[in-house]
Amino acid sequence: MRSLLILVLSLIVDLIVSLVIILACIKFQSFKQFYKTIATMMNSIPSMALLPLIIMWFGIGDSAIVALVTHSVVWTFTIYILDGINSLPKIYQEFADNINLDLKSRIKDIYIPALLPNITAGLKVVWGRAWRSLIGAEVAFGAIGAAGGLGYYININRYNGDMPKVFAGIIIIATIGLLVDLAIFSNIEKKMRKWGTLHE
Amino acid sequence: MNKTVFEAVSIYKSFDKRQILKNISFSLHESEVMAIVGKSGCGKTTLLRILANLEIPDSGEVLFNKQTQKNPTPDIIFIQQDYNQLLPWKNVINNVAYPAIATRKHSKTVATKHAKELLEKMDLAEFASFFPRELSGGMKQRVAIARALIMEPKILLLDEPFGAVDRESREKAYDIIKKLCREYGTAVLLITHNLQEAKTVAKRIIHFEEKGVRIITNKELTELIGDDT
Repeated sequence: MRSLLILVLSLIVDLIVSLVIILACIKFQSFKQFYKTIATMMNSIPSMALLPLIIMWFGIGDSAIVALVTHSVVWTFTIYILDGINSLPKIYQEFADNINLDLKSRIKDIYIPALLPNITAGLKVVWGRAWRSLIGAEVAFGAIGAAGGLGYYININRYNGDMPKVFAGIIIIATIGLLVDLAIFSNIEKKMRKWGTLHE
Repeated sequence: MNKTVFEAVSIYKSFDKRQILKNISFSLHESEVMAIVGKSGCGKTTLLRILANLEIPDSGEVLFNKQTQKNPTPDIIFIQQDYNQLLPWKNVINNVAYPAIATRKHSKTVATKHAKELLEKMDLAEFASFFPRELSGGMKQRVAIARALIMEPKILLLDEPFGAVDRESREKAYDIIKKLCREYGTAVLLITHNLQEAKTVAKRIIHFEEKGVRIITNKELTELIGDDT
């Protein structure tokens, strides 16, 4: 539960960091080019490959989880959103120009709803990646959080030969994934289906 | 003759060294409906985009109420040819009311009331709660026009809004637009491929020809194409 809480908090912070990066990319085209190259490179490195380095730098604790989740979230999410901005229909922007719409209304009423398919797809991917990385790290390296976690629980029960508990851990992981999908993503996707903006 | 509200003065535009628009000048009067006709690719849409200040001309200027207009303004609204210009995440009534609310022209209550009235005049009242994806192309364009009219623009630029709509619906839509524009004092400049339609809807026509652009009357257009209505 503690791992999940830290994961969610890390996700929120990482999304704010991503937003800052996206705004910088919109403002400075040269930064955007540079950032996209770096993001593409970093995005291809699996979290597990970085884990030894993360443990060396941050030790075994909450900060290691934050670093791991940050790596899983920021690169992927920003790439999704920047690609979405590139493909934002020009017709909406011209409509906003034509009626002299202020920046706040543009962002709130035009850009965010228009980018919602990318935002949702990006969030789905980064949530999955972050969740898998965290559990994977716990399985491979034991408790990287101070109080263990689901991966650690599965691993310790594997040592003890307690198969039902191993299965219980796996089922809990899958159930949490399903609940997050039903509680958050399904509702947004239902709305987008109604609008006809979800490309399936 | 009504007063001149809008002028294009010596507009030139080229793309990749290809001259698209050459020395185009004309004026538009209050409540007047003027048509633009010409072959595909002759620069009609480019002209409209320049007039809406969504495209910058190589030279020349657009005057609105005798003042040079360099930026887009809600006084000159451009309705694109694309049927997907409505905001898909807003239903019809909210699409129509949105510009007036977002630009603080009207309060939400007043804008919604105006939007309802416009939809009634456009024969779309029963579709107020529909989302754009549930409408036909012609209906979407009528909603787009209602969305433009809520801003009470002085000029409405229509880029072949009913290109793929059947003739009867098109004529009906133009009748409604003409009536509403008279009511709001809005001048209309519209592109059409249909010459018959151009001479029925407008008294003056911007005719893109091989040698350049000519402003002709609908009678002159009849002489050019014959009267086969």
